[in-house]
Amino acid sequence: MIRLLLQSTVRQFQSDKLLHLLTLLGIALGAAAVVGVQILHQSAIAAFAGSVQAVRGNSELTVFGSAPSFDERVLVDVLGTVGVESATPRVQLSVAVDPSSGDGFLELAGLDVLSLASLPYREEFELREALSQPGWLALTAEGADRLGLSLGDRVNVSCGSRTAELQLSNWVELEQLGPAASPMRGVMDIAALQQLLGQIGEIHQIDVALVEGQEPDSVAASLEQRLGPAYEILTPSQQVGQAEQLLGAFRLNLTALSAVSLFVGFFMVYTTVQAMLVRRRREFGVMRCLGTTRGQLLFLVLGEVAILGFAGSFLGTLLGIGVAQGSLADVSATLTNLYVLEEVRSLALSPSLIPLALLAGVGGALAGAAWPTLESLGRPPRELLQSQPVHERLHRVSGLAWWIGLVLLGGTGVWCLTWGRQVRPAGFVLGLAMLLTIPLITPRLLRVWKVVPAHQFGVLHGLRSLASRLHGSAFCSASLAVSVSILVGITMMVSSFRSTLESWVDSVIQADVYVTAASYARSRSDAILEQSVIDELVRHPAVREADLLRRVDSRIAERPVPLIGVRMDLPDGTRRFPLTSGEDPEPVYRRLQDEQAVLISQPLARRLGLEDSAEFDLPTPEGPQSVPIAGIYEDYGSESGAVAMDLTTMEALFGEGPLHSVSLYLDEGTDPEQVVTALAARLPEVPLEIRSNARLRAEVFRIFDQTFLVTRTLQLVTLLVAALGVATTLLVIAEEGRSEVALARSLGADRPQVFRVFLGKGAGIGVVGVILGLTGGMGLAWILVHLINRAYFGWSIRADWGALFMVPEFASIGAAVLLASLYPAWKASRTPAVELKRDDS
Amino acid sequence: MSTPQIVTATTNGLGVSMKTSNSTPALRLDGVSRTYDGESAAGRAALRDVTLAVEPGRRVAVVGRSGSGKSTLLHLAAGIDLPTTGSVELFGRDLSKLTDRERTHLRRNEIGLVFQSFHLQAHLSVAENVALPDAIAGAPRRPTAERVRELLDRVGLGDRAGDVPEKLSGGEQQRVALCRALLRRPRLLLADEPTGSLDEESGQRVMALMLELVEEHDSTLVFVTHSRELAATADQILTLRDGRLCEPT
Repeated sequence: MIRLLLQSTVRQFQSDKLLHLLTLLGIALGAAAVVGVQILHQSAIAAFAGSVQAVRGNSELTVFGSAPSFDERVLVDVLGTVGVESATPRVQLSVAVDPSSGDGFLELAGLDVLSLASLPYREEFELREALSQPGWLALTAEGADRLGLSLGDRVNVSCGSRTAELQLSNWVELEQLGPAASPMRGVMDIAALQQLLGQIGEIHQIDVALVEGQEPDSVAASLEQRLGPAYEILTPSQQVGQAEQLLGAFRLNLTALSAVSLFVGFFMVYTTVQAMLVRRRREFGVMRCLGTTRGQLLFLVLGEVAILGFAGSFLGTLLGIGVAQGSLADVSATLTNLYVLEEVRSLALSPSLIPLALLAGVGGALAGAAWPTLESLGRPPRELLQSQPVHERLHRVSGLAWWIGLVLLGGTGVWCLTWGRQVRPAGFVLGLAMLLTIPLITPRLLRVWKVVPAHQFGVLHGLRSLASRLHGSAFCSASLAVSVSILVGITMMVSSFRSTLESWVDSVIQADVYVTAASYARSRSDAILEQSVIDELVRHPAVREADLLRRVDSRIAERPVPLIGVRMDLPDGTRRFPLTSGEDPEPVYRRLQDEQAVLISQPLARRLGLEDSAEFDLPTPEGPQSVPIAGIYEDYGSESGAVAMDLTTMEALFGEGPLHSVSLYLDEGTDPEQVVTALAARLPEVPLEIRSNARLRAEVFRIFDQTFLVTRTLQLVTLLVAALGVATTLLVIAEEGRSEVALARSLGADRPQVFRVFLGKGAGIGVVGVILGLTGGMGLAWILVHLINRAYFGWSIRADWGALFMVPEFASIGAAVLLASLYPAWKASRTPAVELKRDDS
Repeated sequence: MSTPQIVTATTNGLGVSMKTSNSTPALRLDGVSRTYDGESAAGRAALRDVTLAVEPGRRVAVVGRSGSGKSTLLHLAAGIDLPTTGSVELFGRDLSKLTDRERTHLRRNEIGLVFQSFHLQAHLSVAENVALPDAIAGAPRRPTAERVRELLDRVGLGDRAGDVPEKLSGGEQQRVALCRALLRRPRLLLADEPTGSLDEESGQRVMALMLELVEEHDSTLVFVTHSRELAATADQILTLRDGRLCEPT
């Protein structure tokens, strides 16, 4: 039977190479989307895990503060805890590399002597040199290479407005300890790094090694008790788990989208298998008459499909790696921008991808083939031997499928808006129900073409004939509709999001010039602006008013949340935090100043269920403190949430602290770009990012667009698979209908007429697919905007239905369907009349 | 029915001479051979050196065993296949010298085809199947509808016009196919085993109807059959053996 299977597979492939190649490509693209997204996610997590692993030595626990840095004297308490063998303080800092020495950021770890000495180096490690040589730095060889540094070279780096000159003194082989970590990292003496930071005595974490035999959980509990609620004790796997949790929504969205590509790929397999079954129906009938069991035939057909699936998985894995590699830079930028995670520089390919690719490719192919195979081979041999095409069952069940689809969608919709409101994935459930409803209602919809008069043998005849070949055409239309739904839904969501963002940006970006340290994008609250720099900035004669921003990075409910302190007394500054309630902002802002109340962002309010709360516990160095909530404001900067307060409130809660950003309001009529140039000239040695209002807005939208680039790629993959599906279906129809075409040719139909008939079929599939897809897409956009975004990101997006006029998108769909129809139409038109099945030769 | 032979056929190899007639033959084959690729280096010869002429208005039966080349002869006559050597003329026009488009139009306007297995379109109604040649030709709708009704009434299926072919018996389906073939009043009707899929009674009924209609339409009929009994209804019987035409009877 195996030999028969292999022979049969080769024969089938040879009998119609193009059809099989298209199907193979469809499976491969579907699998590629799934594999690509998982590779990207694994790479992001591996990069983070690698960075955790790289310099932790043999520590099993890590102590973090509720703020990014804390007093190093905590070390004494940690060392004094039962079960702790040793404790290593660490300063972890992202520094900006001076553009003259290279570009980008370096992750620097400041370690104590013992930890430094324990790391693997390429050159011999000289302890005395590491401690005494000013600016001693060891980088990974790849990192040094990328910066063009050789041993002994000097490099200027900055953190906040401080700069330092470091010297590459050794190569540290961190890749041995954390292979997936970004290579842009290095180590240096902790004291030297503290000096660079300007915060002597402050550290970011303590790595804890345990006494042999001690359980990490019990020691962690002891540490928590001893250090109090301002500290968090995590194992390395818990740290990675937090990162995974942070990326949960991001991953879920991309996974869902990639699964749609696979879903569309199913239909292609269905169509191809259906064609094969029709072509070989008599052969199977004869085999059944000769004693082949139904199970053996099933094995034969599904075996062939599985082989196709294997090939698709292999090709899909390669394509997936390509997709991931191509999207790596954009995804990395998104992760660092949105989640402040490690840069992802390389792909992490794990063996777990193999079962995933097989599941996507083989599983998807078998799932697509199962129904037509079971349906066809379940027939008695007598029916299989009949020369007339067997009447399609789909005609009979199309009505039932229609009602099942409507009930499924209606029922899920009602559930979603009532009992399901509190269920977080309810939006995904409704979205899935919608995508499942599409193929269920398509057959009935396609039957509308039955009303088209068949008087003219051309496009209309092609349209009408679609209603009689539901098996192929319905699934093709459905797959196109699913792809169009995704395209329309996501485009509308992104467009709505963008227009919401535009009005939000109009509110919050009001100053004329914004100044931060060059390293602010990565090192956030470590990127301090020194007071002398601020004084110099506000001294510019055109500056009318200056807003100051202090940032404290905190963790609330296991996720990073920035706490923002600004001048709430700024004249006309009440629009900077647009309130969701729409109430008069004046009393709210007064409470911020008079009652030390805070504003919380909408995502945080939703995440913690604080929409109706009057106060909440804010983590401070003294432990959680209850603060009044003055209002909730719209924010699209962080899905984890943010808290805004007056600078004086922040000082009361967190003590005195440095500032991180200055917003300058200029005299009327002043050109901001000239002021930007003038300020840069005033402070040539200070690594600052000085941006005009217009440039900052442009930067916001650049990041926004970059965030959705991967989504766009996946959308295109889905559309491509759907277009391949149209081509495959029409080829199948052309193949199945050879005798029909030959009859028409023998009755006097010329080639252009046959060509037009097939264009009509393509148009019919396309029109139903697009109309259904447009309807589904609008529904999907509503689900994305009102349910999924709200549940997973906490953002309120105002739906922008103007995005319906997506001329380029529809033009591209139309072009894809037309292009996909051309070759099958041409091929069908070449069918000679002599192909008419001979009754006798 | 059994008028003296006017149609004459020869196979040159048999040395039978071809008699001529003053009028242009409806169909004329001159030294026609048709070889298909494969099976052997020389290919498989379905027809060998066949010469014949069919005068307008005659009824000709082609008989022979399976594989003798009967259907090939019909395909060549319909211009849906071309000879490897020799020429096929339809109403004086050499099919080999016509373009594919011209042959298609000739077929559309001058030839009606009836097949053993009917080849009705499952997704079209009986009336739409009959109207298909006019749909292909782009003929006006109303006259077509009238003609369809007239033909269906003539074959006793006027009340089945809206049914789908699946609901009809084999004999009824072949009557529909006959209507389709005669819709555009073809000058030549070619029928390939028109009764081959029918029981004896239905077959005889369809054959009788076909002969009546051909006479009414003043068409020429060439039909392939295995049945000597049916062949006897023709003015002339051509016998094919291994692709060669035997002496005419």
